Amino acid sequence: MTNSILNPIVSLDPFLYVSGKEISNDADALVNLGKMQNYLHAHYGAGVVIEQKFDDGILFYNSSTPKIACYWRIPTISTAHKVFQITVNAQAHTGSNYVYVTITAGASNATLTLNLTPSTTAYYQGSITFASIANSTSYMLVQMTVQGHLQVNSICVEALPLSSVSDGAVYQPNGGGYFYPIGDDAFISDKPLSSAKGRQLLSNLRLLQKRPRMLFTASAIDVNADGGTTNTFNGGSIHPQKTFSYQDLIAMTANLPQWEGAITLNLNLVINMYVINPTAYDYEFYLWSNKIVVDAGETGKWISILTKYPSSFDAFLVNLTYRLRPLRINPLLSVDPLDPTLISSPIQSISLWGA
Amino acid sequence: MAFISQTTRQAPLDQEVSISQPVLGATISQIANALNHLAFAKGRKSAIAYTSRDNPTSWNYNQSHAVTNITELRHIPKGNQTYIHLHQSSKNCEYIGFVFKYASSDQPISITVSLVRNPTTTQDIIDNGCVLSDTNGELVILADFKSAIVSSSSDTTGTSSTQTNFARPLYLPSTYRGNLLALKIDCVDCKLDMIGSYELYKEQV
Repeated sequence: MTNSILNPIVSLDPFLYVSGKEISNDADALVNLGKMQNYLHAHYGAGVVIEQKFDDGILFYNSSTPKIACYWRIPTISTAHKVFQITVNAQAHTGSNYVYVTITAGASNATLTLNLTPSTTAYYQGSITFASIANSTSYMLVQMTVQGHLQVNSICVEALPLSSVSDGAVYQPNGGGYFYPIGDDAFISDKPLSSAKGRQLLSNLRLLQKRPRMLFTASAIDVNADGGTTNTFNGGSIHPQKTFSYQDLIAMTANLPQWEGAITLNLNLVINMYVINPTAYDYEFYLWSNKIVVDAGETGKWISILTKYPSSFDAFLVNLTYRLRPLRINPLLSVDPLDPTLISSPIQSISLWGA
Repeated sequence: MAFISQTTRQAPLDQEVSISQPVLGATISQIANALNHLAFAKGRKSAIAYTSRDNPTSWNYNQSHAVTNITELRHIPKGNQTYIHLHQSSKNCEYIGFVFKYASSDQPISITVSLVRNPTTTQDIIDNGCVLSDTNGELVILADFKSAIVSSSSDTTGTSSTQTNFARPLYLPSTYRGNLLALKIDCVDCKLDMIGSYELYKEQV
């Protein structure tokens, strides 16, 4: 059976189906309902999931020992979305230098190896394809490892949309249900519009509404001084931060696209943070109204917060016909409430996604 | 063009497609409305990039001085920088808007924004975009460690063939919709902390 994707993408006319009109497949009115669902299954939630820049050669490394420099969490779109395209801009010294990007999906992991061209600054692009993704995998871990004498300038990871929709139900871990592809002949003129088909459309719709969209992610740089403290490409003294600094958190004002229906539908927002706290003090901070405490001596753990979209729409910066919600992590509270001027935060990586 | 309801986002109830009654047109209409919202409102792609910068002190220093008064602030930017901000576009994307958080030295500053295809290879420009600067009032010179935010407007009346002086969204010709694209951002004496790109569609919701 063919499960076509609506092309071109045009909005459906809801007035074709209201009372006073016969429900029919004239002008493919019904067939396009199915094709729109197939389109959304293929494309919705896919796109850029990680994008980060590294200015002034801050991600410099000079050692033959591989080192995990950055890591991020990303949501599983569906178990059918198994291909990730990775783009890295890097500068290499002579000899053999590598950037590895590893994606871990449940018990499976795969690594893309980028062998950098000596004495060159260039873009490198490759992909990772999983044979399968387990139904229990609701998120994935992405790690970037560096080895050799190099400088990474940027990284972008995209979850690629499906080029076609295959037969068979597809599990969507975030939402806990199956998407049922709609065959091209499901709504043709000699087929009844049964309640079973209505159920299928409704079940797919509800599942798609719960599909996560990646909103924002950022990672600190965990190369510390292992790869040297002087960037030999630009001669600069570098201080990569293992955790985000106070200034980083101030700089981190991501404007998240927010859908007003998120509150009506009571949809979830997921915040993942990798935190460490080598100090002797507990560390408290706020993310919107969520108070987060990282205990003193914490050697490293992921915190996952399931929350709701903020109900306040008071701040948005640009009229794009939808609203942008600034993400501001409040770094003012600290180990010492009387002295809120922290240099370091306990946050090593942060990711947000929401339905 | 179909009207996309402001209010109908809820999926119909299961009972409305139960075997005890026919599937009503109103139910199908609700499903169509909700699908439109997913495709044309919630489905709009965005890409938000954070920029890691050098800091004046090392992690080891910061680790041992967790509550020291901050006297040195995050790297003050000087000089020029070009950013290639990747954006995987939707098939129905018509415009791409942007939001930048920038920090500057006390020099005259400008940011030139353009839209390119083949971002990792030829970087052909498909929309010349706009020039933002302190002289045309789009940017503010910020001495020391300060930062400000600039965003595109939603005014899509600017033409795609000439550079304009106001921050307009960038037009994406239909040929390139669905492709991996990039905002090319050339900064003079300022640097970016955050880059956000957001899709705009013709359909209003």
